[in-house]
Amino acid sequence: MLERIAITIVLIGLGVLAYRLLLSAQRRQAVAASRRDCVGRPSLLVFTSPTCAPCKLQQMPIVNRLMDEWGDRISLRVIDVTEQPDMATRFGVWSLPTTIVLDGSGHVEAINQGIAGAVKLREQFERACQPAVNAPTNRPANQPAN
Amino acid sequence: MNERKVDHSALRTNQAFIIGLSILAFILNAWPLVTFVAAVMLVGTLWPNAALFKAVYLYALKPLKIAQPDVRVDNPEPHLFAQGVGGVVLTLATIAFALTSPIAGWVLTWIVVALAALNLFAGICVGCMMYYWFNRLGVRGFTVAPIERK
Repeated sequence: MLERIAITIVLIGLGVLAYRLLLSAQRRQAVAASRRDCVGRPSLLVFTSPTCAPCKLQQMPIVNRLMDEWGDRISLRVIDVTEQPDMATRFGVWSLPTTIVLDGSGHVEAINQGIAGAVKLREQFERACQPAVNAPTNRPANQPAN
Repeated sequence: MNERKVDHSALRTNQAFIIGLSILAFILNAWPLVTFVAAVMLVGTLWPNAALFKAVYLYALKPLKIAQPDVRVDNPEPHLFAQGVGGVVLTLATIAFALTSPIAGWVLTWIVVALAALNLFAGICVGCMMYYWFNRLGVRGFTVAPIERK
């Protein structure tokens, strides 16, 4: 039985590790891609497709409600991966919906796989709107401090 | 059109039970427990009102406020299909166990655990995706399309 418990722990550990590696690979890819997408204010990228039911049913209503709340303070980009597969590749999107929050400097604040709830997105947006915390120095975005 | 709704807390409870009992079956080397989970899943697919794990949520976890309702506009059919696929895979695992091929049985069981965990923790329902692909391909029986919403 101890042997089986050990196998279970190893399998669960491997699963978690594989998932985390996948997420960190996506994050690295998204960080590189976001440098080209800086618009000077926080951005919310929503990756969707015409056949993605949760995108239409759940994610977009949440996003639309939040956009009513945030107005012009955030730039919204809804990306249909069937029309812009290059964008999905650049950001390493492998499941839908995926939402990515970028701060005003184009830094990746958060990547959400699956449905991102209003509370979570609101917190990520608030963090993206704190330039003093995110960029303590006035160095340009993504440039390493010397 | 009336909005169709699904309580995702019930789905998560179902997934948690499937994962927990399947892992317990592996640890205890008790494959009849896998058969039991397969039976619960298949019964819950064919007769949703008789779903045991959902009943635990409805009559125990929800009234005791251990789990909060999470009702969302959604189609129930893809979730039932996903559960049915899991039930069939666990049934195949049971057949493998009965034919004295425990390794194949446990591999199939762990596949179901992995897919249920992907759904529970990452919100990715592979069975639902399959359902909508079949719908898109016009396969008979997969009649429910993604709900359009502006």
